[in-house]
Amino acid sequence: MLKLDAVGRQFGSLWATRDVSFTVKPREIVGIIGPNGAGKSTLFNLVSGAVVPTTGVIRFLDQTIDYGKPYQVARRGLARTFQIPKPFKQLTVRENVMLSALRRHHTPRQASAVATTTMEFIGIGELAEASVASLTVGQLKKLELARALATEPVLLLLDEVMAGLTPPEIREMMTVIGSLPKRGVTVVWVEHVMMAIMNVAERIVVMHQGQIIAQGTPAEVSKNPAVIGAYLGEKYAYAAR
Amino acid sequence: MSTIVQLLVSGIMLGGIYALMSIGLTVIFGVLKIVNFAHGEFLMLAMYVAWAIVSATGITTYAAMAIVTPLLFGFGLLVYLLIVRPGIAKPHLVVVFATMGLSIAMQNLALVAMTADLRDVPPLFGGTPIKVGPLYFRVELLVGFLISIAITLALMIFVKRTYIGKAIRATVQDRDAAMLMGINVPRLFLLTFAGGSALVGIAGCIMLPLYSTFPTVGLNFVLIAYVVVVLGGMGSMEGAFLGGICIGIVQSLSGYYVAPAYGQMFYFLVFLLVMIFRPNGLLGQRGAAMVGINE
Amino acid sequence: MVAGRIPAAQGIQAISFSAAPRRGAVSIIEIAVLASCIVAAIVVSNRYAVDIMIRTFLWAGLALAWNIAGGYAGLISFGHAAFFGIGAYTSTILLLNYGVPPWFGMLAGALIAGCAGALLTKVCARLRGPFFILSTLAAGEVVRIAALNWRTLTGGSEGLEIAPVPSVVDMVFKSQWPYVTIMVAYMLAMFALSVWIEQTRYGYYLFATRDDEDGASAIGINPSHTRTAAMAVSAATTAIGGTLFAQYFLYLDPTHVISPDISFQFALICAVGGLGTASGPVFGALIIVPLSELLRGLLSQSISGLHLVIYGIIVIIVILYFPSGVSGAIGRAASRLFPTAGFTTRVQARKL
Repeated sequence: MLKLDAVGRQFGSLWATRDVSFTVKPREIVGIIGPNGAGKSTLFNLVSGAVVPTTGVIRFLDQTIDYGKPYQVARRGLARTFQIPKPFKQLTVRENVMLSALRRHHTPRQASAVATTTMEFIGIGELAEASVASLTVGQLKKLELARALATEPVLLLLDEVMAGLTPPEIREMMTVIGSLPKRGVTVVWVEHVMMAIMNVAERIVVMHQGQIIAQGTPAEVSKNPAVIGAYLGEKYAYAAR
Repeated sequence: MSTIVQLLVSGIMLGGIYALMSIGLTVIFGVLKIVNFAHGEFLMLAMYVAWAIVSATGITTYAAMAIVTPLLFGFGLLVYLLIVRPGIAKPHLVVVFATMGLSIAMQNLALVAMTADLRDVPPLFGGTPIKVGPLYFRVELLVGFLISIAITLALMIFVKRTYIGKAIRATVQDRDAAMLMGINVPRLFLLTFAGGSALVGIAGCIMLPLYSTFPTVGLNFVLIAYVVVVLGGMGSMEGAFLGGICIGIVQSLSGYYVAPAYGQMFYFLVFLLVMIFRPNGLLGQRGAAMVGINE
Repeated sequence: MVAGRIPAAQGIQAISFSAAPRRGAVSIIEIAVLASCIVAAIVVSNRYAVDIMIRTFLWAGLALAWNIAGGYAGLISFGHAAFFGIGAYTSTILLLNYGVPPWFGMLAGALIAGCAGALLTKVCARLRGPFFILSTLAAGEVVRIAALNWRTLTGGSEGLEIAPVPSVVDMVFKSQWPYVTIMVAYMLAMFALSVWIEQTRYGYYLFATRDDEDGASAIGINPSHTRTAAMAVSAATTAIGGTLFAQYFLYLDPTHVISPDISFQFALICAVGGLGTASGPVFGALIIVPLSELLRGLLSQSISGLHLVIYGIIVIIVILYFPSGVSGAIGRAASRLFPTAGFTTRVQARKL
């Protein structure tokens, strides 16, 4: 589904990501964790086509992505949420989701139907006619997810979607995300809220300072000394050995 | 050979004056991130006021600067408070429409008040050109150029050495950070807009002896100012100076070698070419043209 | 009054109706206004009044055309008079030199203008905000100066004249009736086009691109494509209006036809009426054109330009304090008078 090969991106003299290689299989949920500055956002920008890699090759559905045209990547079936939700402020919730749905359903009427089902699935059905300005953070995040899902993607990039949510909301989202592979969506998920990602993701990739330092199941990764060292400092890594 | 040198040097001098006319526009854009579509009309106002003073009292336009400059400063203040400030936090089209409306209103107020007749002032020293080496120059051109250089230099020193200057540079680079650092950004906006207008006042006094004034004179020059500013990079004073010189030379040469009717078209083509190939201009901030403003 | 739906006829989209002007729906109020325009066109016979009506409807259509680029796509252009001029001159030149009826010349003008619009947008693709606007200003001036100096083609500052010989083929009429009909048809066609755009996928894509280009890109919209198409359509339809103008006034010259004043007027009408709605430009024209006649009548000949001073001030006041224009005000008033559960009070595509 998605394959990164020695992908790197340089900004000035800083390598935001360097020599990143991993594969994502269809219908997997892969989580990416790492301290701040690890290069996770850059990675998403690279995969979604917003930024061009300095080195390496990214292949999505067996085709390379290396142009800076995000809409082409989006049309092939990639959707992403943004860390800071960016809905269309002038439109209602329903219209926002409809816009995404219009990608695959060409009339506004069909798109509206798809939007309704998506909103119900995510749990914001009652907010359909509300204006974006009136939503809480949690609702905005759900809207972000709804908008991404309404394009009926095959690959979904989630960017810190749990940030700012209350524990009940987190649990709701976890259920939603967990059910995505069954609906045919592969998920790559960057997250800081460990409880959520460690319990839902099947495989975890850990990044630190632009490079991958560990890959494996959540259990394996949480015991990995390198990972502990990255988060807590070398002292603790030594103690865990 | 000497023709070319003459043309080049006159071009440079004219360019210096164009630069002065444009510096206000570029600084206003750099700090407030708006384009003042009435910039040309500010110039027109300055020229008319200067003309009125000169005609009434007989003093030279350079002396009239002492009155015109504070007047334009005050006018800029007023315009900022009434028209620009209400629109600053809103989508950019609000300020665009508002300043456009101001531009049209001012142009036609001038038409109504002063009629379309050209107004000019008598030349200095009876109109004989000054001879510098093998070259001849109109006195007003030379004096105008010297004043422009002096003011531009003063501005650059001001911006680099004083607190306000640093505040300006900070705000140009990152408005939010500047606010967080304690810079009174709203007051800075006010000062910049009014100050930019004052600069236009000086430019108007200098340009009056060289060009007649009439209600739509602003239109002619504002497009030159846009080209200068875009060429030099929106927000960059040095860029405006450089851009001005370039355009001055272009105009001087094309005025001689190409039919004057098409001369005006040249600026627009230069403008469009710069917009296409290097929208940030020679010295502007990277990505300024892409991001737009008020995002 | 509640939002209602007419079931879709074969092949036609369902048309939504609502009480007050609302994006994506044709309101009762708008229908009433348009209907009264049609009635007035049929009933009024005073020559002077009919002349004003003709001009009002023409300007409404032109403003609607501008609105597609400026209001829906967010591509504010102060150089649209260039497209207007291209339309007017193309059909006139074809008529005078080759005898091509303006009914066809109109299409040629639209084609050329459409290509010019597409070219301009493609070329200025990376420019945003005031940079784009300045480019349109510059482009408009380039066209004007070219027209002024290309004497062999355009007659330069002397302009072109169409002989006032009535002929249906040549779109010249003695009585005012045919002109009124044509202008009303133009306005209605542009209105229908605008409503249609609002209700289709393309319209949604336009609004999305206008509001947040990166967000639009992320859901698969090609922003450059969307914009170029909007500008091309806007330019082409403006050009058609240009031809109609030429056929009514029978005289063209660059200074008056391709002027920044005309470009400004398109924007003014839309701003006053309500940017980004289908009815906004109509309301705007209904106010501005008769107003300008009134001013011209009240103020003596020697104070030319005073009406423009007033326009300038109107624009400033409207944009700062009534940004959603007349259609916005009507919408707010209507939804206060007829509140219904679930009826959104959002009035227009662009909230300021």
